[in-house]
Amino acid sequence: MDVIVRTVVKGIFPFVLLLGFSIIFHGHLTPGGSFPGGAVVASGFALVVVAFGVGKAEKLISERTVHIMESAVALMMALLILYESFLRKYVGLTGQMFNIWSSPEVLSLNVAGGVMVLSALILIVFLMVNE
Amino acid sequence: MLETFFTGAVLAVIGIYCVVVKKNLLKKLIGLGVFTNCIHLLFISIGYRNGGMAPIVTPENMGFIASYAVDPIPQALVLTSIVIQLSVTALGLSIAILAFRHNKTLDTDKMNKIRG
Amino acid sequence: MLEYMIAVLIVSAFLMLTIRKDFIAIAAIIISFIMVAVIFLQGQITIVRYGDWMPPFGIVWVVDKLNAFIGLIIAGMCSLVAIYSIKYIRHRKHRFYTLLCLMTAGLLGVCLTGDIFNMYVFFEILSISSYGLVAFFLDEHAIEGAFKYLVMGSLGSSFLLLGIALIYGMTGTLNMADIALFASGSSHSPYLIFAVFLVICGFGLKAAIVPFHAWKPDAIEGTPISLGALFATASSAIGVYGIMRVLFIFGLLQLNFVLIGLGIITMLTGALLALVQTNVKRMLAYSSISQMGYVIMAIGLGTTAGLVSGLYHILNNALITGLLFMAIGCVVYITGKEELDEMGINNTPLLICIGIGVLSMAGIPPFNGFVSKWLIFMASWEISPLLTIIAVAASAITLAYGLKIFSSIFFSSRKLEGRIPKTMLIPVIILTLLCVLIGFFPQLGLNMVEPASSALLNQNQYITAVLGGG
Repeated sequence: MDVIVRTVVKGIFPFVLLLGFSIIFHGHLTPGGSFPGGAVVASGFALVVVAFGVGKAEKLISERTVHIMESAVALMMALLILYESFLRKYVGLTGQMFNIWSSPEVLSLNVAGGVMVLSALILIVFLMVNE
Repeated sequence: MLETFFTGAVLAVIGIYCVVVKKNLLKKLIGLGVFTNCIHLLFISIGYRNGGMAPIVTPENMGFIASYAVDPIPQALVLTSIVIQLSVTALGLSIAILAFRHNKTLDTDKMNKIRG
Repeated sequence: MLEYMIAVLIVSAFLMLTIRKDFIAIAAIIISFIMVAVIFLQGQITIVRYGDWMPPFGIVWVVDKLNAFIGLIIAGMCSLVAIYSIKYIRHRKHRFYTLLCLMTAGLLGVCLTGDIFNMYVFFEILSISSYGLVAFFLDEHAIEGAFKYLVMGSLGSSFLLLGIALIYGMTGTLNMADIALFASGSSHSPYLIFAVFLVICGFGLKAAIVPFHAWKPDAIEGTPISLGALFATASSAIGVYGIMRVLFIFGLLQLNFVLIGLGIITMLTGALLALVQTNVKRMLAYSSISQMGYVIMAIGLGTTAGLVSGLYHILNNALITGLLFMAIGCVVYITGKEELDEMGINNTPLLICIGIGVLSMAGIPPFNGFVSKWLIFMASWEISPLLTIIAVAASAITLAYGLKIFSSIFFSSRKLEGRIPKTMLIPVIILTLLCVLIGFFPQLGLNMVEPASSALLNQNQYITAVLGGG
């Protein structure tokens, strides 16, 4: 890709990541949550793949790391859901409005779901490019 | 609100035209995406209220937001539907890659092997 | 107990990717079948509220007699297909079982839910996993069938979403019992009829009714035959269930003639196109399209007798078409060919099973096809004798291509010998025994079907159970 695209992607990539993670973190206060946040972060990586090729993207985050991240987050999400359904009657944490650290359950589910969505989408991009 | 319905109708016609008439596999998938986005647009514009605001609760308007906010339920449903459309598009692109590997072309006129 | 069924299926689907042993998936599908059977035998309306939110605001799952009946058919067919595929699929079995578990989760989710958007989400889970399953063999015909199915199925789901959006815009709620409460107290505007017609288009594409049937022969030609059994029985049953549920919430409106017309065209087109095929998978696909035409015509008649006979024919179609697909799968396993003039074998148990299947499909007396077709003929005679004549003509054409299949397998000049593994023969024998049993004791089937149809016709019990009681 030529100079203009490479320069713009180099400048814009950290802000795309920041926007994505902000949408994930504020999922219990503003619209968004795990799905749109994960999709925005993964599209940032797709921009790097398009502008620089797969080699540069592999240096940022390798395919093996994405596999491990996805499996670990899936396990964590399963444990969270088991905790919610069984132990909630005994150990319950209530939340207050407008406070970002108020309800840890919704926050942790949003973060886990967001990481799972972004790792799945990055995996799809890598698998399609590697033919 | 009428403008969104007209835009939705135009987008639907463009989407279905691309799926039916175009002969390239990738153009058919793009037309499918346009048609699905038209349905999302119509769904959101059903919940519109004249002079309404975004349904975000802040400490100032906690008591009476329900009387002038637009409907948030279609927005949540459309978020789910966008994710579903994303996974269908990903699957369609994978099948298009496999079809290209078999036939060395993306033209559907040369790919019709099943008869009857 | 209901909420753990889908969780068990999805968890075992993801476990199959890492731990590659077959019995995880088969155990999960058989556990879900046992759960649905227990709920069916209990006989009361079971309600599960997710997150303890009350019904108009939260998602509920409601299992009344109609849901339990259709769920029993679907879970039974899925578990038989899972047992049959142990030996039939030879390469990359773990991916097959992952997608099969996800497809079962989607089918059971559409069947058991009481919220209209939840039904759309599970319908999409079912569609996406079936697009993956059609492309399973990765050869040319499978890829072509999968692409056609993907484009057409996605368009159908978009129409379904548009219909759901219009229903939400008119009633303001997404809960099925609440929509029934709203619809019983107001007049029927043309927008409502248009929205329900769009929903019929969406579900009708899954059930393969005639203007929307073009994906089915190509898709079934590409997939493994055990999945062809699942597409022809379970997917069609879910499509017809969706049409029934949304129509009877609103009280059948004025769409009688539309349904009867679609049913007649489907019956005749399916039967006539099945006569000229040379590939056995395409012939069976067109035959399953034609059987669904009977069901749609019976539902469109609008009387209680029509509804009972339509539901009974869903059950019989599952047994007969499943039996034919699996038995002919055994024949393909022995000979390795799929064209009709190259399949000839010499095997006595398969001769009996395919013979019983062909005779039941055409409606010959001692078997179960006769019972449901007789009920459909009687129900349509009261509305108009012309419908009965067309249905009898389609049955005659069904007998013709059934005999064509039977003679080209067992009376051809070259006959091969072969051994069939036991896990492939057991589902075929189970289905044959069920066919003969229901044929000799039709009261067993009527005991299952009549409570289901009465649960569909009086909505008041459903509404008070969901909204009033709890």
